Amino acid sequence: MSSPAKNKMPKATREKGTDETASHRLLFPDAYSADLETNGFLRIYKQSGHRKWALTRMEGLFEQVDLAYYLLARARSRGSTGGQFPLRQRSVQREP
Amino acid sequence: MVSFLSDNVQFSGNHNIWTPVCYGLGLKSRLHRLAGDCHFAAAALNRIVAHPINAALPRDVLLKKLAALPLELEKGFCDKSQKWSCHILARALASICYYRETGVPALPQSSWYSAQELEPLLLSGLEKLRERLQTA
Repeated sequence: MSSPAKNKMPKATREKGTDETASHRLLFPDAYSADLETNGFLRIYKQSGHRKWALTRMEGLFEQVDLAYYLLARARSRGSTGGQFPLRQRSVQREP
Repeated sequence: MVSFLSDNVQFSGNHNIWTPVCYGLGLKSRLHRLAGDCHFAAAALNRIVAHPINAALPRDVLLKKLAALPLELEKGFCDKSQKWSCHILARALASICYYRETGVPALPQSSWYSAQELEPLLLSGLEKLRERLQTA
């Protein structure tokens, strides 16, 4: 039995067995993922946005910028970054 | 996240697409500047300078827009709906951050206002947004 999300896919895509959600997750960075989100509002925001965000639509791009501000505001609340977003820290963590 | 946006979207003449990316570049420039990465901050800013948004905005319209931003923040903060509150606050913050970071001589508009005066507004807006996000 197929999932409701899969039923919405075009027939050709459905028959090829391509998992649209999985490919979407591969494209976007972890910050977009709702899986590890602890804030209820942001979890719902990410879950609903994840399905429709693209880099080719104005409203989706605006929503992604909104999300960046949500995460920035929340990062300030943690107090660990001194009011700054941990750009440098993240780049250091990525190094092997 | 804003790096992801700006790295994957280039200016193609479509200002509907470019406007949110420009707001993202404004934030990226700010974050790099605050982190001390001046080279990356300048690189993000240069992309805005190459294709600025609202470049043809008359002086009085821009000043009116900037003057309305504190009210916009207050409106967003007081909205009963958390979703709309956060939405309004984030959009206002994107504008504030954009004009805060593009207060450079390369953009003629920057001489019409004081970019540094936007800094406390930006910080208070982030506090308001933080508060509304926590009331989940």
